[in-house]
Amino acid sequence: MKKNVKIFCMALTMSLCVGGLTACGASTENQTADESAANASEVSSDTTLDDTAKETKEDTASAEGAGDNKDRANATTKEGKIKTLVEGDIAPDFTAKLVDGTEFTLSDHDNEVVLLNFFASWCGPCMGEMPAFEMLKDDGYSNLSILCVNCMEDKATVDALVKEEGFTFPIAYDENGDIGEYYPTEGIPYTLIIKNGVIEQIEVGASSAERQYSIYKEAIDKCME
Amino acid sequence: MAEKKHFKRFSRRYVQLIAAVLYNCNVKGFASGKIWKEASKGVCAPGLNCYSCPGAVVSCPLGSLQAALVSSKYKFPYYILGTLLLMGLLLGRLICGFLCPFGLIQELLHKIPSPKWKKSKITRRLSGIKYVILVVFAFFIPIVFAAPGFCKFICPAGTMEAGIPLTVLNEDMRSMLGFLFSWKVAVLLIILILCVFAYRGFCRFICPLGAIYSFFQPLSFFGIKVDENKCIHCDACIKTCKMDVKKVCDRECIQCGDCIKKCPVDAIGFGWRKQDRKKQIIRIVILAAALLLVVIGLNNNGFNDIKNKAIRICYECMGIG
Repeated sequence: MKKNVKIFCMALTMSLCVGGLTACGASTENQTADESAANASEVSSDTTLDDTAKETKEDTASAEGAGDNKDRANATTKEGKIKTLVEGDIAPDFTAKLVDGTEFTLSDHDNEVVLLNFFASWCGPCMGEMPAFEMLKDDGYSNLSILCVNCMEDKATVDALVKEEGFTFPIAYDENGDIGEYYPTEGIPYTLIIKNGVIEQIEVGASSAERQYSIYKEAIDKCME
Repeated sequence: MAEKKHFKRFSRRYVQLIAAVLYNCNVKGFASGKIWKEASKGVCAPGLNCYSCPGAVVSCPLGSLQAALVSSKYKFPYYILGTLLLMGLLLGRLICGFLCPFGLIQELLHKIPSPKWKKSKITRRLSGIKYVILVVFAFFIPIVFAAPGFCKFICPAGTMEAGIPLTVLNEDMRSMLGFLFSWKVAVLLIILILCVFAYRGFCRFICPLGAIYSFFQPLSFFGIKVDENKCIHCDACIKTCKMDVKKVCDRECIQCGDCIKKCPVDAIGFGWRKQDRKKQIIRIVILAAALLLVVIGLNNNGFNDIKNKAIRICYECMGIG
């Protein structure tokens, strides 16, 4: 009898825990963005890309409203949730503060090809492919902008990383995940090739720098044609 | 007495089961193939449990340690080191015996009827391999080659809990599979087969997390204790134990408590372990250091660093990349 009571109590406890935690997760997901948005929990759910700029702007980075020349509102779904991006989507606009002290606004580069990469210092494959960006920069494309956005590490860590590794291509802070929020991904490295504000190619994961270089170069050359 | 024995034998299984379910209670993740992305991922579970498992709601201490060491050039991993020190000092390898889901899987596998590889001098020697793996794969490779060596090349929990389920559930990821995934599946199969024949073969010979906790065995606050006044040195405990122990609560002991039932004079029990003055001082110093590291780590954004890593799929844990 005692054994049955014990088993019943255990089953009840486990069911409550599972139910409770799953329900918490589900309600948070409902409040926030698409369930695949990496940092969705930290930003208000009904924030759409259009009104984000002024309201959630942080010191280091901000996702900004629609540009004058482009309807960037389709970064959200009809319900106002952030959608997972696919090739052919318009790239959500943002302004980021760079390690060198300048700012990068995506819509300022609408007439160019932009290579947008999300990385972190703890991510082995991310760090492994970094030389590919250095090589692309050295290739001297006149119409190419490279931007690597750090995923939610603090400013001091990013500064130390850039100093240690000696990267010369533009690197942006995103301490609070404000940019990453609009570029939801299950994992990093996450790289997008954007032409005239439209996502032409998405790459998730990375192998060697040489292989990534050839993949990105091919995609960029295709965009430049 | 029979009922007491029954309780002791099965209560550990309940704790193991509850721990496994609590670590992996994001049931929805198993259906959607998406991982948990909430703040609880900033908390490290005591046992080995891949944080890229769709069900995992907490982080793996070993995976977090390696990720922190990969970026240790830029930021010292105060938080995870403090957490490991604290968990080790409080519970030692009691964690292996009670709170490790992969330990539970190994024990269930060992129940499959087959000839069993009993402990011997050879297995005792082999148990030293895990210390080599700890140094090479969990420290050297992450620091020098910026890759989570153990997760990437060995961890069977990562392949079983993350690699296989996520690639089954996500078509996109299947296209990313390569030699590394095949290697990791092969390692997983070898380890699972090993565990059928050798009791907790992974824990005994391979697990670097067990190796870390083993250093705290003589000092841990809670666990198995022996009443030296009652002990008649009959070695019934050592003969009963399936691990490679030389004495109760040495580095190989997972504090499962099987020996408690076999002790003819009831000299072994669970509880708060009293230490002599010298060990007491060492214990307090380590406790203070652990708390200090955790506090510094928390002030240094350590919690968010662990969370931000764990809310993204670790391709290397899965055998991709």
